[in-house]
Amino acid sequence: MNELHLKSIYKNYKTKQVLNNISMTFTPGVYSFLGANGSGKTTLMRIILNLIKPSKGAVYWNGQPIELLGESYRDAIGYVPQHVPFYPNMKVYDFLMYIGTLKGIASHVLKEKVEYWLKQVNLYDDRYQKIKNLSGGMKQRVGIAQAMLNEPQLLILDEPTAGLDPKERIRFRSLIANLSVNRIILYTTHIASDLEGLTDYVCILNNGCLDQLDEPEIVLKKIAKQVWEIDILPEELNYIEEQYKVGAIEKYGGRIRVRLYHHKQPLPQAVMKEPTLEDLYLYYFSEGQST
Amino acid sequence: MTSYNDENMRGIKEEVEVYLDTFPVPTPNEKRIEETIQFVGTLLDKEEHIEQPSLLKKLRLEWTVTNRLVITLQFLILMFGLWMGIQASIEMTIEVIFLLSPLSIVISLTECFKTKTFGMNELEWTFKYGTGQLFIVRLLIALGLHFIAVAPIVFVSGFLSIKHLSTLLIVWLIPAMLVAIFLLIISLYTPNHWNNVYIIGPVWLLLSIFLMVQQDLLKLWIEMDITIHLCVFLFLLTIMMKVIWKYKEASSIERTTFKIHL
Repeated sequence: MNELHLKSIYKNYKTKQVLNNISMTFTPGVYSFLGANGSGKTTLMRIILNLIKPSKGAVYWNGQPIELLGESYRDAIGYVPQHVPFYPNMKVYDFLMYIGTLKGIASHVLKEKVEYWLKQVNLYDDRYQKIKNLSGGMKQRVGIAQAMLNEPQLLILDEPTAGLDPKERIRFRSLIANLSVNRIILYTTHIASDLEGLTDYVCILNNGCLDQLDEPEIVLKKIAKQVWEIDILPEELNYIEEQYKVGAIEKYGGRIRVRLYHHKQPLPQAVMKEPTLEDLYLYYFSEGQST
Repeated sequence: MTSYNDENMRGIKEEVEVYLDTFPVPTPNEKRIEETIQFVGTLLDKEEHIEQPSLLKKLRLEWTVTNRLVITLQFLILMFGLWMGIQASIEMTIEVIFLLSPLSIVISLTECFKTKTFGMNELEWTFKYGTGQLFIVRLLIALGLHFIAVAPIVFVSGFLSIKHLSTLLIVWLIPAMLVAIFLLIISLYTPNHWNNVYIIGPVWLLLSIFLMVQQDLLKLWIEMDITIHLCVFLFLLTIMMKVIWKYKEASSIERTTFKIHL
């Protein structure tokens, strides 16, 4: 069984500390990193990818430091960056063939693999389209296909659903769920709802520190009895926002339904709700009154 | 006589049979079968389908993604040079090679900066053959294109006037290498290499035209002792190798982002 281990990772950019003593061990499963912009998610992913060096600490893949593994480590990873770059004039099929060769996949199996993944990401019919003519979601799916060509044991997805429409996000989620067997998948996002029913572990990064790392149910327990829903009049919204940490706001009829986070019942008419991952994210990262 | 255990075992077997008879077996799902086959495939020894492509294969692959505009421009340089080589005097051909060969190398070298142009460094670094190896392959393609564009003019003209062959080689290799070094070094420290191409190309054009107009200067340089030319060439070659090594060493996004712009 593959294992990725981070040992006391620190990263500074000049005087700014981006990561502060991150230690964790990953075994196969889906790990979601939740954090606000600038919380250090992407930096951590880049350190795991060996794209940047930590200021202190080390990353180990199956007990070996990744700097020493070189090609064999790169052979084990698949990476989908937030904005997948392409050679725009290439056709989808040619691009995947090109990437497959750069990944060292033998030509006699490459064609088969490219066709398989084109079907998996539902781009087979568009395989002869130029990449520059594809929509954002289709490009993202090309990104997934290229990452999967070498059947990576470690798949890193850096905010892969940013810019996708809801339908494409659901499709993407199903795809990741299918891929999660026997692989370590590291998934950074700030769209917490994408992770419902998908993630095995939730890691919360806050200002470069690891605040939480546990199964979603356990992490959610920590905000149980702190999630409330209340129906108010539109003119009351400002007062609520000033007084409490507010999550989702929905309009219905002439009233507003507000989800808010507080350690005790904020108002008599407030109803306690089961927390979701979106609540968890908003609880940690939304601006407003602290609980 | 049967023991208590045997009777017990018979009872269990009967229970299991009844259970198996009633247990609903789900219909196999075609998609699931395909996924399972694929998954089992991933458990096989990876050595079977991982190979180190030969340099020739990498070059062939890279050729398929070479910018067609670069190829067209090199072809035009080749045609113009050949036409000049056949039509014009040897002195004129020498000047044309002196003018064109640095331009040809500047155009070719844009291939080496493709990673940066399309923002591919982050992704390409995660591939088995990282940006360093890719740079070398693209450099070989660039040098090959430059060779194909300029060498025929030099050798056709040299064949027609054999005593000028060394001069033709000097006016080809030394200016081309000098300009290539300039472009590569400047591109190490600046983010947009296309700007460098747009600057270095016209600057060379003006400089070479100036030298061609000032016939004495160009003549003086060409007629210097061959040993001096050889020393200059070796010196430039050493610098070139060092610069190429620096590019190949550009092995982390940190360096490519903040220092080296491939």
